Amino acid sequence: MSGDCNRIRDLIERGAYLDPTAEGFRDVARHAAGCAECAQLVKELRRAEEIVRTGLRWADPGDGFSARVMRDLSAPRRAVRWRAPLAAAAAIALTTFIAILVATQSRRTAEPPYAPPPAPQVVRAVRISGEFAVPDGPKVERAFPVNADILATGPNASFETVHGVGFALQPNTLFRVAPGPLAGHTRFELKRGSAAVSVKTEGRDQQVHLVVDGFSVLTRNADFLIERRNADAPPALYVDRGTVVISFDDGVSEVRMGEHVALTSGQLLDRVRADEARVRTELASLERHCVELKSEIFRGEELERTYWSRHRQRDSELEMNQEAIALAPDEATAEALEKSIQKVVSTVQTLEFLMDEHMAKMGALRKALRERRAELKQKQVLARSYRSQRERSRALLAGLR
Amino acid sequence: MAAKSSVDDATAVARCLQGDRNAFGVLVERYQALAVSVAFSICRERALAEDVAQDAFVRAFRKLTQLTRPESFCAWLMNIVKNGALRTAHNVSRRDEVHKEASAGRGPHVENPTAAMEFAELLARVDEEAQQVLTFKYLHGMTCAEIGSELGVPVGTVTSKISRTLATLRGIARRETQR
Repeated sequence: MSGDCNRIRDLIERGAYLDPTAEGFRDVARHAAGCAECAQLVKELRRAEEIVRTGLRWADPGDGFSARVMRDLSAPRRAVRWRAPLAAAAAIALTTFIAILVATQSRRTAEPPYAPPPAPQVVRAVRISGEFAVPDGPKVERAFPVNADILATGPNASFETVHGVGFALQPNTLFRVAPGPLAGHTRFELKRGSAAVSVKTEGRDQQVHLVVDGFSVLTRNADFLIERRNADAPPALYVDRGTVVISFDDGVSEVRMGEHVALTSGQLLDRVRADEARVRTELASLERHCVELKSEIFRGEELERTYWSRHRQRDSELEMNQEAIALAPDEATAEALEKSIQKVVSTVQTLEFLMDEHMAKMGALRKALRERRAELKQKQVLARSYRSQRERSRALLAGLR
Repeated sequence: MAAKSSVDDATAVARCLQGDRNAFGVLVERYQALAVSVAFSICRERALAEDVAQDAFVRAFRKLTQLTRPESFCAWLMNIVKNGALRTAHNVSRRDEVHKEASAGRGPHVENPTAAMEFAELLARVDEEAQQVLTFKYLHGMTCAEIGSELGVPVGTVTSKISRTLATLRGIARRETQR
């Protein structure tokens, strides 16, 4: 490395190559024209610039993004709406839990007094792509006993709660019913949610029937679900998993769900995003494939041009040789020219054979490119629809906050 | 691509605090690509990154009164983005863990574009000021002099910063060229 190289490296380090108006820009360019090492360095830095430019353009979510943010700014604030009810619910939960502990202790000696169910707390849900989602909420990891004994009546082991009261923990929280052995007393584990519970068995299947605010939910082999509504409020429910049939008491609607269907809002968005990501990945791979095909076709076309130019050369050689034969001074020269013609003819035949093969290959490539482009178009439409689906889901879920 | 605006960050923030929401729109357009890129380096999923960036802007707007140095809006915003992305990535992995059955067969949410990922990872490693400068130069097409006047720093500082960051990027550029 020469002394000049050191000076140029110093200029490069100071970013002189970045701006044509910068001092030293010309020096760098002039030096790089004659120095392979420094030219390589500048080339790599230019490539790095290209990566930054491409990366930022790729990341730019476009003009609609700003509008979406501005729309979100106008949405009601989540924290303000959550804090008060959450605090109230936590207080209710704590009071209820203490009451349960006291009641559990005192039940041995006396029947606990009837406790009215706490005021209904609506869990709002939205339906997206045929599924319901509720806001993500904190989990109550502790297992609570239900605020009632479960009493067996009759030979078919039909169960109902002794007190028939609901049990509230927190609003908008996960709810799990995990029935224990169906004998005498059954213990329910509630993680979050609110419900009044009754249980009965039919044959070997066990059913848990939850009633909240006149709403009923039925699940087989109860994994869990909760669903509730106030008379004035829109349908609101939380479902986590299980085969579920939900009957709305006003007969407006019936929702049937398969196994493991229901999601919290976060899970639901995850899935929508995962679908979108999958399509994007497929799209990216298709785009790459198209680029590869296009460059292969481009190379093929160059080869085709070479074939044609060789063919033309051989044709003119043939013509010249044929003219030369006509003017040949003696037999030996004519014979030599004839041999040469034979050679050129055989070259032309080989060329034509290669060209036929090449043309067939090119045809297949062009057909593949047409197909990939059609596929790409479909995938682009699909990607756009997934994106708008995500946007719709986000907007709907924003309403839950 | 967002158009560059003559309003600097501090002025835009001041206008927002006076109730001008459109001024916040300028900030969103200026930093949306950077925010998505930084979120993408953590979440590794484009759609998730966009959502995180969107939430971060909303959060930033609501906490704008807590911003003590309005001229450092970009750095402050990127911290919000990073925290949001980390929280989201954690929640997603936890949900996947809890609901293994539901997510079975879905596979990880990692998108492929290697170059974009490498770029985003690198971008996450440089400081916020460098991120801001790169965005101004390579996304909004500003000259080094314009960036210097926008940030109130000498042109030399801007070019050195860009050059240092690009030198770090050379490693990636080399690998890309070898492919």
